[in-house]
Amino acid sequence: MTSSTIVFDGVAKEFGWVPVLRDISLTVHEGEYVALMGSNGAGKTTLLRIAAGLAMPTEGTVSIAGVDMRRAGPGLRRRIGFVSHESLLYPDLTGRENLEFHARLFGVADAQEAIAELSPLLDLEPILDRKAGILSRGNRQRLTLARALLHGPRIVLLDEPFTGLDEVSSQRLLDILDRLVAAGRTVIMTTHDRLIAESGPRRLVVIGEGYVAVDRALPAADRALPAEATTTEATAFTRPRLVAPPGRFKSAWAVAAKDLRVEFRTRDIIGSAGLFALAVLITASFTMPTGAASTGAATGVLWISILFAVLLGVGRTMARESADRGIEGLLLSPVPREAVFLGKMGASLVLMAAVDIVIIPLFLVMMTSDAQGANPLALLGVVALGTLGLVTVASLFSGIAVGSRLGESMLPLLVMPVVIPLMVGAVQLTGQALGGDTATVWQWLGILAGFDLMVLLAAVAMFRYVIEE
Amino acid sequence: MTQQVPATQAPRTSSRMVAPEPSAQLTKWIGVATAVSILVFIYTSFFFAPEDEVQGSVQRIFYVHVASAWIAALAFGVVFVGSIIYLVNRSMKWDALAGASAEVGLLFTTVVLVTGMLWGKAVWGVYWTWEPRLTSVLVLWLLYLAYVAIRMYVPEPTQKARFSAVLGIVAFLDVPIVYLSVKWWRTLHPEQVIVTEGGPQLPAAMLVALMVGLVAMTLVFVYFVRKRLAVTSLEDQIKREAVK
Amino acid sequence: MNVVEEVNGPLFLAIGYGLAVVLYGGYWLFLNRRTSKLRATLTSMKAK
Repeated sequence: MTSSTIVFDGVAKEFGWVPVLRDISLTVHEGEYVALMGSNGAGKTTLLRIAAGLAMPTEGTVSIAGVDMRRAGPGLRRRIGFVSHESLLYPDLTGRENLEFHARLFGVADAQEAIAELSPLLDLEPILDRKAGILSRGNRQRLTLARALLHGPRIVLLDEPFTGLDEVSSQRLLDILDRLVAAGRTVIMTTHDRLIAESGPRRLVVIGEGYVAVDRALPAADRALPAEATTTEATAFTRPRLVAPPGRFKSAWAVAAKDLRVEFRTRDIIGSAGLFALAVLITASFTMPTGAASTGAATGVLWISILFAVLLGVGRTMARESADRGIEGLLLSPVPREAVFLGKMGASLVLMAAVDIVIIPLFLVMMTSDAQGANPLALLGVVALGTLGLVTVASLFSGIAVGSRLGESMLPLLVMPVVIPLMVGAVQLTGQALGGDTATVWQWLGILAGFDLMVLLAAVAMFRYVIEE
Repeated sequence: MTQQVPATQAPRTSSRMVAPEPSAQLTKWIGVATAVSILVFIYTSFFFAPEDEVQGSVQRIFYVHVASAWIAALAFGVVFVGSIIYLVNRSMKWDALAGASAEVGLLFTTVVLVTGMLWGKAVWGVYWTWEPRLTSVLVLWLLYLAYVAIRMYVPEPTQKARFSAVLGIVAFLDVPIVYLSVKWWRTLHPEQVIVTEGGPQLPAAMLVALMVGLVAMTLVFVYFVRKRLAVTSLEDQIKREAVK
Repeated sequence: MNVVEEVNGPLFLAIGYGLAVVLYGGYWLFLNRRTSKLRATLTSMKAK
């Protein structure tokens, strides 16, 4: 059992009640070059995703180097490079930014150097500084390949990588795959093109009716072998380039930073969430007389506007990962699931803090007759703790909402019952803080903080089940 | 490695995906026991238990109200346990149990709310007040609703099971917190307390009626959950047949 | 206990129990109907 042997043992996969794979048992040894074929819907993509750890088999196991993929740790994930149908790239980031992000997640020692090494091989130069969202299919494919190879994986899985590529690009890709195999990597690619399958791979596996229908060796390809590799090209695939993957908090920070950078460019979330909160506040202040701010009504309106801003903003933050399936890029990386959660949550928190900074002063001006005697520190504490709790719950449930048929609209129904204790406390405390009633405020802030902590722990523990597949 | 693997092999059907159908025979017997217990319950609550001096006959709602409330809480507990076990061993039967229990729990909680509101109007003069117990029951109802909604709007069974499980666990942990938070909140605002919590000790006969109610409602719960599981199982079997 | 306004106690009692019967009974009927319909569908599918 070498360090990259892949073993499928009795793998079956059902979607709903439709069996796609019924019983797949095969072994792929290190250094093999396999073409996986089958008609449309035969389960090639599914099998590859199971090998990559993105999907779990309904029955049976898949193990790499003797480790069940269900229990794959960071080290195992780093050995895999996956090229799928979707690019897994973030459309608002440039090619280089996308690659740097993935380099950070995978613990690549020197991202710039790695990119520079891959650049001539994949002709990345013209596309590195353009936003991934506007690239043509062929260009995006090259970038996707770069993302998958950047961390020097020992196993490269490619799902129909030749679709949409022109002749030149196809040849180039075949060359690269040859070089990878020559460098000792394991390559499995799916294709439905017989010609492609016979242009390099040494083993053909055909899936039919959910079983392995054919499994035979292929003769050596009848095409010009790539020219003698230059030193740079050789090292691009063989030089080890990884350091220890970033820890929990560094990864979370990387994810959050990525989200904030995207937000900085598009300003979607701050715009919509902020405007919504503003609209609620302004509408309410028209309809209500300005009385003492400690009346529950005014503070209630404040927290309703904050709640809905959070629901909007956090929902959008999570929905961003659905475009091009960016979330799968995160799942493929060695980053622990908790870090993904903390990162998304952290970004949302920063954005909501920005919204709060606008909303609170406006609230004080519009809806309170006088803010004298108010305890600013306590007020700050309530707003901070309240927003934190709301963002935590919303972040956990947004993963669920986005996966449902209703999408983000499902979020209020999920979040509101759970945050009632928080809302009750926050409204209560805001009133106290504004009224200058300091006697019990700090004690209650402590309780609010306790609630936040509990919710945070629960969310961090449960998030992995939400984004599992 | 030259291998021609024959395409025909013994088909492997995943039995874990289909919720098992509870024995219909046993369910029938439980149904009979349930019907008997309901009759006994009606007798004890209407005739055996004495009429309350202060509230009059309307107090008798208390028996079905409280008994249903206990079972609503029990159902929630079953959802919680089922959710945890599902996440651990991924066997669909636990997800089916949680799902059935939640639906039946929603029913019981609705009865609690409705009877509670009627009793409240008769005794306190208001259909609703934001006191801790009522608020907690309302939140419980909303959480059940959210749970059932998730199961409706996530079609893929494994995903539905996972999402439901997460919600089931978080919701269960949330309800006591809701109760406590509303309770504490009210101690800060000692308004005109319309509702007296607790109350005088129940005379023995009333206690008996309540106990009978608990037994009856528990049987109703078990009976309904079993029937609901049968529905789930049949639906699964039909979907399996459709794909064969 | 403060009874703010007199309501018809026995009426409310009847409504309360009546609604309980309607809710529980209605669900029971629903389950029965659904079960027999599903069983019928399943048998006809298996017969094919």
